[in-house]
Amino acid sequence: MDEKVILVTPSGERVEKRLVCFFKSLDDDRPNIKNIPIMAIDTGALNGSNYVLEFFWEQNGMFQPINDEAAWNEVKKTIIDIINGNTEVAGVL
Amino acid sequence: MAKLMLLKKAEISVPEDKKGKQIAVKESNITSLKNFFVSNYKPPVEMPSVTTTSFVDASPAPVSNMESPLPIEVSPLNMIDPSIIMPNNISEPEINPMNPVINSIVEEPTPVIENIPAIETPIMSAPQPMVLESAIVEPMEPEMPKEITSTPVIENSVPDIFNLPTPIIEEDEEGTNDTAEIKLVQDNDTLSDLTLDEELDPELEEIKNRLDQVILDLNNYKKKIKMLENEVNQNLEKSREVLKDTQAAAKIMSIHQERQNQIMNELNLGTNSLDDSKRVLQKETI
Repeated sequence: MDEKVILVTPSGERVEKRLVCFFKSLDDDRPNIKNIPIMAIDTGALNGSNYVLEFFWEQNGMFQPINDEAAWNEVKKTIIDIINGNTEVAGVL
Repeated sequence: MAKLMLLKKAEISVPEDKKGKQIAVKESNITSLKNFFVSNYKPPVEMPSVTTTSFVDASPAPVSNMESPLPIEVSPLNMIDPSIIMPNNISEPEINPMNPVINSIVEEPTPVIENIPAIETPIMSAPQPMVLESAIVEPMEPEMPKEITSTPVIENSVPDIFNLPTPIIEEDEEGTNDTAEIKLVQDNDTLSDLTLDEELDPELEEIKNRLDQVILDLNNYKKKIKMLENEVNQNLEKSREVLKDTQAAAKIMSIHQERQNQIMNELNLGTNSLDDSKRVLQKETI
């Protein structure tokens, strides 16, 4: 069953999205995303036969596109780690 | 090994006109991510009866002993049974303090909820304060006071209020620009085959290329071996045919030889007979 999350814009518009993963990295070797909440959403779109995931991170109290390349690379590495099972879950907030 | 803290929120504040970075992944990888996310939820510690029954009881029957029309005291989100499911057929998803259904949460707990697996809506069991109505839980402000003005956001319930206008987070029209491919080299679940185009470091890329070359060479050798096998088989078949022909020829030659011997014998006999006749004729002549 899909997890859901409601995205709410400043103007109050709300849209429900399928949440794939929501986490923050605690790794020191990923300093650009350490302790920053990151959200992966299933857009429902397809790229070829693959599914398109959309990522946001929290900046200034709002979830925004990850506009920092170093951070974006660390996010992708983290996603690969999760897929490969190379992760340790420290807890749930 | 990456160390992660999983988060759970029901509502996320986002800007109106920005789209997120995107990547494309195999379906099996999405499943892995979802499973990882869901399976690591911890079950809620407490299931207070105040909220355990709420929307499972879809009966719209009003409860007459409502004590107060004012906001109902609601525990934080992590105190709410995540298995609460609001049936889609509830006609009034917008719940206000006057709504008798809310009242029934407190007054009439029902056991139906006990049969529902708690993992179904883990996102709703987040420890963030619960916000009802259209109030938004601002990220990173867990101490925000609770507001009870209308519908509690409950996972899986998907009331009509969520079928609201156009999504603000648009899918990336350019798509491919920011899209990294995560794909399995082979279509199985062995994650060791996972590659992420943007992420492969040169060493891995080199190893992958070498492996590809070795596989290619092996395939070529296999083809050559197969061809040689076919050639050997063909030659063997030809040899067998030649052997058969040789044996047949030998047999024929043997028959001919035997026939020749017979003819020679007959010829000798004829010659002897002729000689005898000559001698007899010479005697008679003398």
